[in-house]
Amino acid sequence: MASRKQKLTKEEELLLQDFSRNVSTKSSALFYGNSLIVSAIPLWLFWRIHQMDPYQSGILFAIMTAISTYLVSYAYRNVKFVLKHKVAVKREEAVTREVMKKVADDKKMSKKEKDERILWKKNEVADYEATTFSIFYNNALYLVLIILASFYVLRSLNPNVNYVLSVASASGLLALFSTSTK
Amino acid sequence: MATSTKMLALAILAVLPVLMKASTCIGPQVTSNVYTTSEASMSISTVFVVEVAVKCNNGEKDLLLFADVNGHMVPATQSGTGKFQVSWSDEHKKLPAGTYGVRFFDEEGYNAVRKEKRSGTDGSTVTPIFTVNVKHSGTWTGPYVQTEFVATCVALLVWYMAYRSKSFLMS
Repeated sequence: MASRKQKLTKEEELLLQDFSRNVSTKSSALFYGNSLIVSAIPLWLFWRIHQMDPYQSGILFAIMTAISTYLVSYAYRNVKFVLKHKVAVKREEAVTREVMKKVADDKKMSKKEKDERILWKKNEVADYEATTFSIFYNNALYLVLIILASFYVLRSLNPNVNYVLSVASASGLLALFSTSTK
Repeated sequence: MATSTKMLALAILAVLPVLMKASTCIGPQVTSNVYTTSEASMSISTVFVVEVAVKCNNGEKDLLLFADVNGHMVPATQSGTGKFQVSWSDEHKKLPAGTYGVRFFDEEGYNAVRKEKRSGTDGSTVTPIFTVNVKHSGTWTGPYVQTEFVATCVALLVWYMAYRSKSFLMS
């Protein structure tokens, strides 16, 4: 029996992409770039406010920034995945109206093609909005957790210990909260 | 012989007060430099430092000055020819903001003030050589609200706005 290799339709591809937690290379680069910048913010805080020497604590800074970058981008991905579907539902009407307005005069396009185009546009808008909102929300939460941990909870500890624990707890909690589906 | 010896002793006694008279400054021209503590968060007491450069019209250089600091007479340290320095410190609340008049006396004035104080008065009737007005604008005790508290509030506000938007999207 010859094996049939079925080619996926555009719709099936979009659906797979929709329900997958994987992100595109562009989104991945955006996530890692942003998470690196956000993870680097506590470096300035601990260097200038808590008076940690950047040369003496360089290795510690590098390790914790790397760990935090990974955990924050993990949080970005999770929150984006959860939000994307909700955003798609909210924007469906507006996107449909906009796309139909553009293709209404095109008589050559079949209904199936128009539906595919709407689905693709809806996916693109939801993807973009979910990505940017995920970055905004997670950055805000990360900064709140860092400030609370370093200035209040762990203020009496040695600056090195304060730095490790506050970055680890902030990024860890962020990753944990991002796994929530609500 | 005994009479001439007696006459000589009397003459010396009459001249002695003139010879022993303290140097005094007539028509002093004073330039002053004043420093007072401005920040209370890093210091436990307020310090006043007054530097004066005195030039006398009578050319007097060998001055010995005393300053009346809050009712206490303290000697002024000579830091150069015609330059003197007086400093004192106390708790922040005992030296509040305001203008403090520091009266400077020569030896004669110092003795007069001491004499008046011994007799029970405060010595304010004695005229100083000059007075320096020290303006103290008070000490800063730090912000009313700590900066980390402000930063926390701003961060919480931003997060709360993001949380509300997320809740709206998830509804």
